[in-house]
Amino acid sequence: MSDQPIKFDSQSVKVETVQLDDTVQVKEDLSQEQQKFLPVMANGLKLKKSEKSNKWLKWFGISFGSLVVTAAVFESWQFIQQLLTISTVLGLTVAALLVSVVVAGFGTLISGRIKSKRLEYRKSIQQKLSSYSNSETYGKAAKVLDEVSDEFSQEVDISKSLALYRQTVNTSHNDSELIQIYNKQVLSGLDQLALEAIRKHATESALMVALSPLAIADMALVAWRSSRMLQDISRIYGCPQTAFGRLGLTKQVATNLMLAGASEFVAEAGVELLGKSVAAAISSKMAQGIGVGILISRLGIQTMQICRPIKFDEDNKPKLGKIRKSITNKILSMVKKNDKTLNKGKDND
Amino acid sequence: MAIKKQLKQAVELLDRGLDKNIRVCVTGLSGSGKTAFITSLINQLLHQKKAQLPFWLAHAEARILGVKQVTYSDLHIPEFPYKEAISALETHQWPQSTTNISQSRISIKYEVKNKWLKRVQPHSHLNIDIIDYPGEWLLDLPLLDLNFYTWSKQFCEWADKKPQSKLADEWYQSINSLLKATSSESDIKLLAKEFRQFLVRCKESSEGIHFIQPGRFVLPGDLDGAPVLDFFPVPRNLILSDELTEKLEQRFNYYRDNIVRPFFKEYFSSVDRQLLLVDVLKVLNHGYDSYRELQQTLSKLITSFDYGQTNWLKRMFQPKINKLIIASSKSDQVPPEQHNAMKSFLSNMLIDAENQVGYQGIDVATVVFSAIQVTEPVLAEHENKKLACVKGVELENNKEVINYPGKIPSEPMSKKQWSEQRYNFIDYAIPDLATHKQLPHHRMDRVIELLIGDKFL
Repeated sequence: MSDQPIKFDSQSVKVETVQLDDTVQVKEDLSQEQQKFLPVMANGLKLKKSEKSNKWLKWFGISFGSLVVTAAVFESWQFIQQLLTISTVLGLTVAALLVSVVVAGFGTLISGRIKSKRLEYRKSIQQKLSSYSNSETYGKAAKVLDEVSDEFSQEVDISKSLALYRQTVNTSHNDSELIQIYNKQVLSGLDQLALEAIRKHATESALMVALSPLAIADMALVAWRSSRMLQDISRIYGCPQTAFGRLGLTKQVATNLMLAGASEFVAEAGVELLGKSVAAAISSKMAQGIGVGILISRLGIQTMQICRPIKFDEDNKPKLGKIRKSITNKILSMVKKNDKTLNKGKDND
Repeated sequence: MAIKKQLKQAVELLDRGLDKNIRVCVTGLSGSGKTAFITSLINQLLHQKKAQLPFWLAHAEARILGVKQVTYSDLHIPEFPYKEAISALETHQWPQSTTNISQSRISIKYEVKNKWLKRVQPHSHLNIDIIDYPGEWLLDLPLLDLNFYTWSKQFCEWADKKPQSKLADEWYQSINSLLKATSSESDIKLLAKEFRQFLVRCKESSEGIHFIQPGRFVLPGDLDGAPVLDFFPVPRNLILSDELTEKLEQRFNYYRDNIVRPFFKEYFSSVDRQLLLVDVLKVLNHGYDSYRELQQTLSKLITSFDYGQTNWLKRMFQPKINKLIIASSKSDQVPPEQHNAMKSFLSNMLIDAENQVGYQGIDVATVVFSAIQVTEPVLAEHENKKLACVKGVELENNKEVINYPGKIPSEPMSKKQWSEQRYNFIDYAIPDLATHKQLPHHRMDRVIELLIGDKFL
């Protein structure tokens, strides 16, 4: 029986030092299902998602899609043939162009797909690590954490904090301890970086909105800046997204914002907005700027939550406070400057 | 309501902020690793600047400015022999086991984190008094609630149980033969000596007997040869002369009132944190009887601190001890993947006592740690399977071995399971250690955090 004690002479047996990896493989229950709606829940009971899907809609989608593709292929075929009758050189050039467009398009799609797969994979890592830190396992987390570190180091130089982490851990640490140490020593630095990125983008867009005269331009600005921010954050956490991927990420962020509890959002953002009634009194445009800034920083924090391999706990949850202060300070200082110049103008009069 | 709550919090904060002394009492039966723990604790604290202590939060936040050993106010207590312990480690020896009480005071200077207290003083310090004493004496604590007759009865009940019953025969014989004769002073002395020998046999036996009471009979300290130790329990079926009983009772009472009581009163009052060290591995080695005996012994000890109305300890300690940490050291003898099982085993063993203490509103935490790590976990190939073992130098014969000690259950075992499952935890020698830096350890940081972590505001 393997449970019974055995003592070996140290020379007589083949030995390897314990690598903190798989001694036992376990199947984790990783529910890949993505939440899209706030589930109806009470006392641990949960209403299941309805499984019914619209067959007709699916059918319509498929047939419509194939129709469009067939039409496109037919049209381009005709177009090239037409051009060939005019001149062989022209026809061939256009055909080559067409092929290169198709290839490049597919290439972009596929690379976007791969990168958004990476985001999905990140989610599975998140689930794995959270299951490790809740159950008392040993020797499984180290491998996952190493993998994550590799992904990080492609985008950010984390060698210093990683070295500190390696120095700190020893073979006696179990999975949840490893995860806590990693969280503190490696991830917290990245969090700082991500918060800095959020602060920068949020302040910039707050200023832009406060200055821009057109409502439609505001919307474009917000879309542009927030998209840039998503890219930066996803890069910081080692799962960079392309334009296509970012669309998916934005969708997830939006869903998360909703799931995170509309109440929380309203309470926090609302208070932040109302509290700045001073700013509102000065100019509604300024208030709008601050509002947009806060919205963008909320988006940023949600993105952090999606990209971060270990979920935030109560202690290290990023707080809006600092970012908000930075935004309002920036805008208010701008207002003061304006006031001064105005006053100077008056004095001159 | 909210204001009231905040006021209460503020008062609590002030209270904790002002209290800059903390008295840590390291309890545990002999051989549970008290001296090694204190040595390692002082070592970790003194070498904190370059130490890896990730779970000591104040340290992880880089708020610890400096640590030093200072002199304490109880000048009559000897100092904990830290230097001797360290030089013992240098010569590959475990520190000498404790034979007398000793104390050490560590002062930690730290940066205040709390934003209100910070305005009053940005830096603060915390004095930690650590008290070490022989674990044998701890077992006298339950004596405080007994008189000579109840003690005799309790003792004889204990002596009839396995595994100690085997060792008791000799003593029973002599008491039977001698008491029938006259009861001169020399006879009493002789019998008391026999009784002491019986206790020493119990202590030295390989069966893992813990409840060796009275403690000073096996480790007299400066009482060696004093007449106060010349008493013994009287079995119920023996009828003694009144004169003799009176004599024995008188000595028992003297022992209880003038030796045990002042000892606990002096050193154990105003203790803030209690660390109870339990040697789980020894019990696993010895099997079911030893397990049950240790379980009962520890329950008696733990609950001595707070049961019943008449308990003087309760009155004295209740407002003071606010945390009990039950810890099992020597985790380095166990492959790391079994640490969680070891923790569950420990907590299952003491679940009743823990429950009672918890009822008194005291925080109880369990932790598995190793004060000085002397082994290394390895994977050994055995019957085509990889077996998580530990590698180290065996204490007995100084040979390097790789040991798979058996699988610790995380659920309580039945008597049958106990008899089927064997364990072989072995003691290891100290390897070559650099003693002028942090000693290798398992989870000392966790223990530090549990003991004093909340004091670093």
